Amino acid sequence: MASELKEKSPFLITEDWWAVYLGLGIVLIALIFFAAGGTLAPLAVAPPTWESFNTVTEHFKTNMAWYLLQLMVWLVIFTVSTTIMGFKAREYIPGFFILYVVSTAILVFGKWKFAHDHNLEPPIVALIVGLIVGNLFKLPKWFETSLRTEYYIKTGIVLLGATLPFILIVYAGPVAFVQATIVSICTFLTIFLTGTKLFGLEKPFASVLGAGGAVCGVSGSIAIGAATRARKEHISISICIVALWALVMIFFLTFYVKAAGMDEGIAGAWIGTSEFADAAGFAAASSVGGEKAVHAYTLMKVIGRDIWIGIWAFVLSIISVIYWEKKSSKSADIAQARVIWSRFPKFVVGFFLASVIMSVVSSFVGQEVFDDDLKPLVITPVKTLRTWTFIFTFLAIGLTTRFREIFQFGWKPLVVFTCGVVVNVPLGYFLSTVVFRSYWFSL
Amino acid sequence: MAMSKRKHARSGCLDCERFNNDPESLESVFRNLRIMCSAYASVRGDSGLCSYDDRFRLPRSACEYYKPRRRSARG
Repeated sequence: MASELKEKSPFLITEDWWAVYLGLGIVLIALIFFAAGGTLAPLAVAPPTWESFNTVTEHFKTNMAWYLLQLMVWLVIFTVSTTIMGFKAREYIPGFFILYVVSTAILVFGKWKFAHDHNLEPPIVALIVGLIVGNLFKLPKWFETSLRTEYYIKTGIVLLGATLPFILIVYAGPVAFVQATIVSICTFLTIFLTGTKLFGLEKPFASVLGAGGAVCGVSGSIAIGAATRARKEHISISICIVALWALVMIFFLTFYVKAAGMDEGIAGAWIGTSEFADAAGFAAASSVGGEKAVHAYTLMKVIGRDIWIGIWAFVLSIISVIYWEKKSSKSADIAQARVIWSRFPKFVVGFFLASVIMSVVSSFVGQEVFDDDLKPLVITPVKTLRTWTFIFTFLAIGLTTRFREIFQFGWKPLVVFTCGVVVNVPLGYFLSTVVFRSYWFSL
Repeated sequence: MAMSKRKHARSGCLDCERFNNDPESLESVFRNLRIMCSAYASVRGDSGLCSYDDRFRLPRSACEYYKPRRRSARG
């Protein structure tokens, strides 16, 4: 059945579209409940902030049934969707059960005042726990089936759309685009020219590394790898280096932003230009502060960088065929213009729709109803469910990262990519803290 | 022979036996892909690996080493 569906519809085989269905589905159900006089709030349960452990035990005594129901809901929607994508339900279900239980424990720990005072925010704790467990123990294959980092983060981003007013996207989107484009082009050219001119790397290899550093991390490397027909081993190397740097940047950016006491909006924008993968950036942005940092990061990373990957693939495909390989402009190796849409990260469609839907409803009900009813009964539950998907993501990153498997590259590509980091991070910092400071500060 | 090559050159990787774009298989080849990405993502789309030259290719890409696929493609 699953294989038949795969043959028939591209809308059933990518995590992007499933993230749209699940994210928008949750938002619409929350609105339907609200319209009927109810709320999803009890289902969107999460551990409270606590100082005394009695608070935790009382909370779980009161809400255990809601936790079980929430687990069932996650299990059903993720199991059905992953099964249609081709994963085995008998592997996914026990794996996700463990992921959920450990995520709950991490949220409890992260909500401890002691942990908060010592900068042990849930995203960082999830990542560290995952890294320790994943590198010290061999995880069974059935458990690894449930570690779908990209699926969880994309679902979370669609849910995030519902908490981000569309007017904010209109206001800051163009600024994010300009800033991200400046950083992306400078970073790509640095990596590409350093790689080809100084270190003699093949042009497709240098472009794969460049896209990984400049556009959207590992996703960028994959998309550009296909567009330029890069070698398998070069894509593998790029994936490892991007993942390694993305992990390093989570800790560096979080530490620096907190130590420097940066404004959340400015910090989010800087993280948006400096991080190499969506999931890693959300780990950093979620750790440095509240919604402002997450919103600024999302605008910069998703709108400023991610959605342009198709255009990068289209342009680099033409350049690689005509200028690098000296083939005819009619060569079948040149990507058609439709690659711009086919490589477009479709979850962004859900992100925009969620923002538009919630913004329209908000303007329809008026400010008073928004503050008193819509926000606590719809937006806050959606935000809490988003927090869960983010914790699944950060834990999955840690659990899938094997350092012994990552360190399988030569020093040349590492140095080349690092040159890009050396340009990317200070340039993004300068643009966020000086040139576009007022936009991000007032977000 | 020349005619055959020209005909084959018009057939894309998607129909070639040497082309693998099965997401599960790609995630086993690129072991670290799923740390921060996925073979089930739109950005990968239906791109895949060619077993002849070990290059990552778009499905409409083509070459003279085309070999008709016996079974249907996944992904």
